[in-house]
Amino acid sequence: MGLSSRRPEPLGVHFAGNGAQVVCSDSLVRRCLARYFAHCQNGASAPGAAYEITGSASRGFILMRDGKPLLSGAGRDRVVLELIQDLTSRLIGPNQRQLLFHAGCLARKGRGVMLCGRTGAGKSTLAAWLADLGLGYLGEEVAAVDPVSGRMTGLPRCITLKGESAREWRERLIRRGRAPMELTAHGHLWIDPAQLGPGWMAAGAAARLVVFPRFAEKAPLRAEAMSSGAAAFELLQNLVNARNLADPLGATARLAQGTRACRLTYSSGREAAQWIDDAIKAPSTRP
Amino acid sequence: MQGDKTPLRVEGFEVEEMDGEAVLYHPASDKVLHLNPSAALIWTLCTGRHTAAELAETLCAVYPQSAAEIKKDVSLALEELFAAGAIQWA
Repeated sequence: MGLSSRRPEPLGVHFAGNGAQVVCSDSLVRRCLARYFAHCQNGASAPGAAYEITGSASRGFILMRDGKPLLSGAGRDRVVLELIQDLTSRLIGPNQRQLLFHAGCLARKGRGVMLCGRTGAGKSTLAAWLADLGLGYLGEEVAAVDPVSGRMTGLPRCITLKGESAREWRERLIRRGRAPMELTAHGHLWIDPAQLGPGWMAAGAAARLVVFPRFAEKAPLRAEAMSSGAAAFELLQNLVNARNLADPLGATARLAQGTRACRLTYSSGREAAQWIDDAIKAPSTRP
Repeated sequence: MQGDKTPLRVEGFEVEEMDGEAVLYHPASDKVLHLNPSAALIWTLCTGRHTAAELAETLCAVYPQSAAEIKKDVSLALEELFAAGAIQWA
């Protein structure tokens, strides 16, 4: 009797109506990706990019998308990071209906907060602190806002922390006796939001507060209220699918007019998160 | 001299007025600008039919109490609008 090789079960990832599938022959890589996208696998979406990872740690991995090679001879960590980045771009790219922002998003009792800014602004750090305070986690990198209803959803992949933030959170979770986090050779720490406590996952929320964070070492906490014009301007800087939309300016302006916005300078993630939580609980100052 | 030059809005910008401020978005270049109320008004007046000096005089007539600052503000705003690619000199 001959041996039959079974194609591994594909891992499906969904966001904002788009999907991608990943087939991976290496069980460790597959387990890593399954855990990273654990909360992104529910949802119906149009078939999208098909990824395949073949090879091994000793020979190097090959990453293919739709039959075309993206990367070859890569180590385990590198192929995982490349796939995550490419797949996320593919999920975002085709969206023509929703406003997609570089933003973390969380919610408390249906009132959503967007943490808006490019890489390095502190979105992930603040998302971790806010989830730890009990806000429902929607995502930490990209937020989708329906331009008509204002409803906000996110891509609830693991929270990715780097540098000092990663070190701080590693120690916190170890002290709490939580399950080990995924670590990569690049010094990234992945936190499954479920590790931050019960009630961690929000189903979507009305965007009520937009925060543009800025980390500044040793700086006192400072929140500056923004006009709706200033907020719209900053939101447009972080809108990733403007070219796909019929009226990106009008839709973003309406979002800005319907939410409260502020720039938040901070040096303590905990302090900043507390401020944000208090702000989201306060009665809305803008209709 | 800027005063003799005629400012003209660059074509292709979409405008959203918000509480007196303006946000400009240029789809082809993805350029985004945020104008305070003064700059928004000045940009609106850059129709290509008036020189910078005439534009300042018009505003001085409307806001005589601020005439002293207006000429300086208009000059600065036009420089910034030009640097940002929102106007050109006709």
